[in-house]
Amino acid sequence: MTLLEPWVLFRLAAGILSMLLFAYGAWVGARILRYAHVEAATEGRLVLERQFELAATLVRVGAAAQLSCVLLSILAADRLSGVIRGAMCGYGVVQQNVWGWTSMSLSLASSLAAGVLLQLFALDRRVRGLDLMRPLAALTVVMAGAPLLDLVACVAWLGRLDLSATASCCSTTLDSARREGLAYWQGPRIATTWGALFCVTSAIGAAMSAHRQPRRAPVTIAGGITLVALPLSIAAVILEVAPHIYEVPEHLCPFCLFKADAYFIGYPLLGAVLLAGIWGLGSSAAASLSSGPRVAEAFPDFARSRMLRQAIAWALALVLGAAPVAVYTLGSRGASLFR
Amino acid sequence: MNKPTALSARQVGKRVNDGKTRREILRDVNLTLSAGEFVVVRGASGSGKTTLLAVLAGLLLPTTGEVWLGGEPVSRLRDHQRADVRRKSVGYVFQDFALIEGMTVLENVLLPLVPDGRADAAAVSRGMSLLERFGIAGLARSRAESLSGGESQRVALARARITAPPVLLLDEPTAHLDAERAHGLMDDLSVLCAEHTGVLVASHDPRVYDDRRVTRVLTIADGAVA
Repeated sequence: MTLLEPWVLFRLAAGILSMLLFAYGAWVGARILRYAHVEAATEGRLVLERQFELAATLVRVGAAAQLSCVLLSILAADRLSGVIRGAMCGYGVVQQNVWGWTSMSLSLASSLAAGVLLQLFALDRRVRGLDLMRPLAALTVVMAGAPLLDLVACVAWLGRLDLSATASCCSTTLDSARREGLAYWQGPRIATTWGALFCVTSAIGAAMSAHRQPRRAPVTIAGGITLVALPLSIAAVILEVAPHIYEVPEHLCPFCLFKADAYFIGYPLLGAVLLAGIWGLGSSAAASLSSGPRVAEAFPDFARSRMLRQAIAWALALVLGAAPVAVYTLGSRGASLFR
Repeated sequence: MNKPTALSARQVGKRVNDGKTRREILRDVNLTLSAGEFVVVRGASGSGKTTLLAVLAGLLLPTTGEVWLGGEPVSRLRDHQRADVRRKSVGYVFQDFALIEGMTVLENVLLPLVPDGRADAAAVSRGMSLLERFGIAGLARSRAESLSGGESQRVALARARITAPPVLLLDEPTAHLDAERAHGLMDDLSVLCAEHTGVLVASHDPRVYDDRRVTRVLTIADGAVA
């Protein structure tokens, strides 16, 4: 009866809401794509434009709900770890059946896509006209399948959890990790950490530069750097930050970062990374749509605000990620955790 | 030299559903108002004058066609953008004046500046000078509900002018006025026209549409403007 757990219910409710609103948006989007040839200012076209306004508002709510899905999935996994024997954190809950990682990956990907779509709708709200109506309608149609897939995977994962079984959690992997050779991770860890540091600082610099000169090219460059920095920074959190928090070099579990004994650092840290990704990629996507004169007129103000937010989010992620490493280094008087 | 167009309507139609039937209130209205022009739309009660004014002001959306205000298709903008254009480009005097009871005359006049956060000391000074211009400065601290019809009408006119909009729309402005007040209003409106404000009045009052200072008189019947 996992479906009666409050956080599971919240997660499913958010998924259903998102799926329904995207489905309506896709229906209106399909009509727009089908009838957009209708002459401007005719009754049919004006009705279509007003339907788009309503659908855009609803899709924005749906996208916000979808964005919350990844957070609710983590919360659901974390809370359920208390009722599944052997699960010390969300890892044990996600790992318990084959749908866990599929669902979590789909939630992350669809939340990121929903966040990017939200940015495009935010730009659309600034445009004095409906120049972005067709591209947004097409994107909504394309995007509509993602919340559905995410919901199906989530129901399959949560619905098939066996509360009576003993879960295999991240702690059980520690010994085998040591046996299989800690050295195996050192190369990727060092490369990932330095790569993430370089990319995140570059992303901050590029975002601040684009904030000062909010033109298409600098914003696209900042988005490109973000595209590389995003997976690298998540990998660095897992390979570098998590071991330092628990002072165990083999402890590569992101879910433990959401627990109280890690000061819940996973929420602000990975939240900042996700938001930085959304603002960076969203602005970059917006830059690719801002060729028309009215969109181009609205773009600089939009890009300026998003680039500043992106820089702040990356800076926050950098500080939060560096803090556990710095604390450990100070406590150990400079000794390396991985020696 | 041609005067710039302050307001235009192109193929504007307005239909409403009243439950079972669809009523056509406006049909293919084409209309242009230039800066400094004084236009009167005359027509019997129920001919569509008030709806036309509301559509031209961006208060109502047309079912077909477009309304252009200040170079922008105001009828096809989003709600917040339309409200923004409306506040800056149009002054509107409602038939019943729509003053807010419980507020003073000066507060009513400053009301259009509140959403933009511009109701500051300079605005108060401008509001007072408008009240002086319309001869009601002494009523600035009076509450709206204590005013006579003529006084309310002048407060509504001052409120419509507080943002110095290029277009002024008035719906039956002389309905509550005696002959002397009606003449005074026409004097005020003609002065505004001389200051390059485009004025459009909907009225079935001959004191308005027979006034020699009116530039054009259009007739609306069954939603069609001729």
